[in-house]
Amino acid sequence: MADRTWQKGSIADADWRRFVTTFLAILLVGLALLYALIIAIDPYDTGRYPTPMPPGVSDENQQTASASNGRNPAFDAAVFGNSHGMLLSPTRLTNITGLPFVQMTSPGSGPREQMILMRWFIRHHAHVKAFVLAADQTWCTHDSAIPMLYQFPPWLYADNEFEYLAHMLNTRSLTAAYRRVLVALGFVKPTNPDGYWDYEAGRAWNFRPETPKGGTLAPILSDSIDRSFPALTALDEVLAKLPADTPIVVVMPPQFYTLLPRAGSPAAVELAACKAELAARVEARARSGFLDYLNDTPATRNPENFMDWEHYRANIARQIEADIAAIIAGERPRPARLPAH
Amino acid sequence: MLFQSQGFTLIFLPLAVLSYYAVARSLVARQCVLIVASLVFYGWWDARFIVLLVGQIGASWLLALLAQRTRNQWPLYAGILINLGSLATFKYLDFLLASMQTLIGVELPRAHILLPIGISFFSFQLISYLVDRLRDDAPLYPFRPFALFVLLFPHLIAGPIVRHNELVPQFALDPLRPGSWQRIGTGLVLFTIGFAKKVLVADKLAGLADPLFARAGHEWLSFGDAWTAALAFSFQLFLDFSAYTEMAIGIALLFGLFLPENFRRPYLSTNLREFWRRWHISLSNFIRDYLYIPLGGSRNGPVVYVFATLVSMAICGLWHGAGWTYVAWGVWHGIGLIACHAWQALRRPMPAAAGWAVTMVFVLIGWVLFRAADFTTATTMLASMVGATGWTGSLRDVGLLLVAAVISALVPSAYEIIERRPILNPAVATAFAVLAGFCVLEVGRGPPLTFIYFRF
Repeated sequence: MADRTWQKGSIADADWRRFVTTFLAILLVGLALLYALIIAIDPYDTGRYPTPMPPGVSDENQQTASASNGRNPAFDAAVFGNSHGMLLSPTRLTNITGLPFVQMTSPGSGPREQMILMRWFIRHHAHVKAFVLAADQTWCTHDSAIPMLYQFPPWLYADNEFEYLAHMLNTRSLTAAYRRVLVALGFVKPTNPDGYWDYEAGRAWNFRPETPKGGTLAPILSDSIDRSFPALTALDEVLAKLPADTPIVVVMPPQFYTLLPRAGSPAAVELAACKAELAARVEARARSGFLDYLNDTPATRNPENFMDWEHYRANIARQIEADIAAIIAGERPRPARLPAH
Repeated sequence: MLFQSQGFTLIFLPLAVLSYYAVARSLVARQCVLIVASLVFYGWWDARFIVLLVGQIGASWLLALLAQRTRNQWPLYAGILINLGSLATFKYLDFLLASMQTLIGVELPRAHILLPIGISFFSFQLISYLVDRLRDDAPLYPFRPFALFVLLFPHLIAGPIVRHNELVPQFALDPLRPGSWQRIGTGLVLFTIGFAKKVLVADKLAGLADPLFARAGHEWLSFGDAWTAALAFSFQLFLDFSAYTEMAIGIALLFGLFLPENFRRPYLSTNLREFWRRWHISLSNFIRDYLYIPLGGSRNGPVVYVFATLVSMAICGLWHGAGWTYVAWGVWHGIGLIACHAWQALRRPMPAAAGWAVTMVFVLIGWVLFRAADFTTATTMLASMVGATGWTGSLRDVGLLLVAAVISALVPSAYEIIERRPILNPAVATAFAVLAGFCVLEVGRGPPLTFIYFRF
């Protein structure tokens, strides 16, 4: 048995002791140094600890880039949501409203992730000038757990420092830290700090819905009418953190009409109830309103207005931006209308 | 808590080792440290299951004590039934209900009981002890070392399956006896090798195999994809499970304890009997000692031999999971072992290369059955592998498959490393430290994947 052979001391215990101490010293000192380096570089530009790095990151991933964009003092108005709000241009919104907008949408996200980003933005801006939420049907969930819908790093935006620190010792943070150093040295260009990414750019439009898809919204909604919307209750807590004079615009983005529940069905009644709840949250505020585009209209029946079943094209985005700006300018909310072509 | 998680490697394990050596001179204190550490380790998944685990250990020990006091064997039978009953309830109840439903055609309710992690392993260890007591082949240990024999966290969740007489006597050994630095050093090396195999190779293979097996559940695969899935899973299973074993043996060595060997490079086997002497050795030994030999073994004529082999292997399959695909996998290997036995009786040995190729193809087909969620998936996969959808497609990620093959063939097993005269110099220590550090960083990227054998 190995133990007995070993005890005879075929190799001096001193050699093994040296082996073990070398192993542990290199492992522990190496990891400690790398960890200290990562925290000092602040790979995602969270501003949690003092860093010698200039602001900004080179990061194409909105889920992590929002840490930097969301605390940028150059922007004090923001758009939240998922890919259904992504095409709303912060530059255009800034130009029309005069308020500096940043895009804080996170593709694939649901209410939980979006509220995390909202809290992050509010925490870093003493006075939010405008607040836009592109709320799709995921906000109408009945699941009181409000589960995350996609991979998302909540630890990056956590109030709890320990949660952040516990997720920083890894090759992903190390790679991000390396990229941030390259940005600081001028070898790599930082990504656009307004967080905008045009999903139409560089892609061919080819939406040809020959077979109606149908029913995509229905799984969120139930067969029997349920008027409880826990995500909206949770949203109240976030909105309460905003100054009373901050304009809030909630947009229900358009999707191709075949995804809508059948008129008169329980799901359609539920969707209407959810929309009413959303509208109720903003109707009493000044320069605030609810814009509902998720309807069966000539615009949502026209495939040319869509990249795919769920994502509208630029002409639609421009109209939504104009409607948002009108509300922020103090115009009375009116029924949302989109160009049919 | 997973062996390869940062919480385990950077916090739990160092704390457990430091606490253990701080009280190393006291037998009671160091056993208590290991018991507490093991309960924390197990409770990390779901603290509720500690009750079940401690309950089974306590009941088994009390019944063994009662058997001794009353000089009667019924408490031992009762103990075996309690452990089998727990396993049947927590692991097989829904499977039995579903099977019965298919048989009688009446819809039956399901229990939907959460499977306690490692239940097959600790239940089998308790049963083996009680059977050994029945055979008068085991002493009645004091409760603390008995509990520790089952609880010891390096082997608690996924083995190796340890017999009481292999482990309990070691608890009395002073961890600071001569050779302590060698045990710790070898433990670190084995842990690092297992860590790297799991994080850098096995988990990458999962990314290759999993989506293809999922696709095979509802569509045909191309010839190339089917072989990619089968090969990727075959390597993944070995590298994942052998990695766990190496980490387990390595961790135990940090506490001065030796766990038994579980693998000896099984994919080098040139016949199926040899494969089972190299694959999951602690389970093979268990099946042999507690099922195959009691059922008659090979010394009571061919009919008994065939019966004992098929039943033992079918139960071996069922032990792996509550599903008929696992039973089919066990029977497949039973048939293979019988065929191998018959061929060897002819005394016309196959050339080694041919024997290896036949064995590997046989094992590979078995792994498809083992991995597939149902027989439809297995049939689709196997049919695609023999060209049912044509001969299109090619192997994906050949580089990764080649790396996996080379590691499977060339990296020595845990005991080959333990028994080998090592090269001890700072460069080797540095290389292992860098490898371990890289694995820590790599595993920190996201939620680590559990080891495959945790399901069993």
